[in-house]
Amino acid sequence: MNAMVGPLVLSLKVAGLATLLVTVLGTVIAYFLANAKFRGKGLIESLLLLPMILPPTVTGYYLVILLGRFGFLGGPLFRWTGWNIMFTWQAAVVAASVVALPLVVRTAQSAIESVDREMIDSSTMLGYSQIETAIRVTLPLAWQGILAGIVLAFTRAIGEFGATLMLAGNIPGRTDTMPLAIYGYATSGDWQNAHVLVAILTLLSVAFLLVARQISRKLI
Amino acid sequence: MNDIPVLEVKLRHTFPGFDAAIDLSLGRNVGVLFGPSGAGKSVTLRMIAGLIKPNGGRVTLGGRCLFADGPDLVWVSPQRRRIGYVFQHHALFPHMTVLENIVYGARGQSKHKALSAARELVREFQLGGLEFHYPRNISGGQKQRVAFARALIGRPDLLLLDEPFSALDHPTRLHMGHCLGQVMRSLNIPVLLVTHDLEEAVTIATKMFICIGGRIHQQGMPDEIIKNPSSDSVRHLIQRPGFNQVLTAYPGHVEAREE
Repeated sequence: MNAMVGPLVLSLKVAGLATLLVTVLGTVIAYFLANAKFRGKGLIESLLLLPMILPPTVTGYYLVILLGRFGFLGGPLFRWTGWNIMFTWQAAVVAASVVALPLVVRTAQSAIESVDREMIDSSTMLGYSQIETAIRVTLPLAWQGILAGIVLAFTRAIGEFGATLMLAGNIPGRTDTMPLAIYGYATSGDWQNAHVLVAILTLLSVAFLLVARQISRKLI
Repeated sequence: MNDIPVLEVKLRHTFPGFDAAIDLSLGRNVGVLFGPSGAGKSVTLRMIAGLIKPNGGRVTLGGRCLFADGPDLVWVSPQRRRIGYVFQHHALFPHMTVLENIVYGARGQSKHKALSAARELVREFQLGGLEFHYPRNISGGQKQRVAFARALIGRPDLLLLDEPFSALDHPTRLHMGHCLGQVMRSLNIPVLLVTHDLEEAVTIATKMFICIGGRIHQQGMPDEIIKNPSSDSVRHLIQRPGFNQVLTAYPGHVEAREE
């Protein structure tokens, strides 16, 4: 039984944290991109979408180069603190966040851009600063699109495999999220545990789909 | 007395394929910016409001400079201009009730004060019973009255109205024009309304500005302009078939202003 509860709890923790992270970060980035005009904006947008297009193993490889013990960021951090993120559950959160971020940015940006200009101008003429208008008008009106992005991000995060394997490995009891655990059980011929985990993941996905449908129906 | 200029506008701006050079002044009464579509009426309002930064010129409101180009550059942000603005499509916030929409306009006032001011406006604009309705559940005329209340609760120094009645059907539009015409004249601030509807312009205006191709061709009382159009293009714009009926339909209005 423990063989299944562990990956389930870990997966929920990793995907939940990653979703929280990309919701905040993705919405801020989306708001900025929707409102700013600057040179090279197209390039930044493309770079942000890259993890959606790249094979997850490639994204994971870049993350290792960046965050590994000898990486651009991971190296100095290791020399300074003696800690490295690789093969920890936090690495799984980072991997899931990176692949899920573009989904929030994309949907939130188009939702924010589609908010009626007159609404924003009205709020401005009533004396509200840009940030007050964003919090009280723009984001509440774009909420439906942002929520759609959050739902997509969570489903992407909970199913994340390739980048997680590269950065966090597949260490039983530490970094074996459900997809990794299923792979582990299947390759070692432990079909019973694999079956149960597959069933849980399937049910979870269907349940989430239904919840998402319900939310979007209420919002419309 | 109301003719002492409170709002003075001289603006130049180059849009892609379009040049605007607007020169107008308005006292504490209702001015109507009238002209064909694409004459630059709406962008004039947006420039006065500060939603578009003009290339050059000067805007003063009640002796306070809001914008001036040149070495002594002045730029007051739209938030600090104390200008009420009603948009063509009312732009009510769909996630707020009627009352919340109105209270939103009372930025910086205490909650208690804002609420009592909002309830007073609800009475004045005959919105009683709709306080807790959402905009999607009220009629077009009611929406527009809420937008007026929201723009007025903060006691602006100037009210700008961008085709506020154009989305309404004809009878509602006339009714709104009459009711709000009275309200606007009683505000004792300059009100500048944009329309391409001549009937609406004549019924509401105490001063009319004829805007063609980004220029003010003529300004004055509506009946003066109608009697003595300054150019052929103005004459062409205001002397349309059927227009005499419009004038005779509101003789009292025209006479009242002539005294």
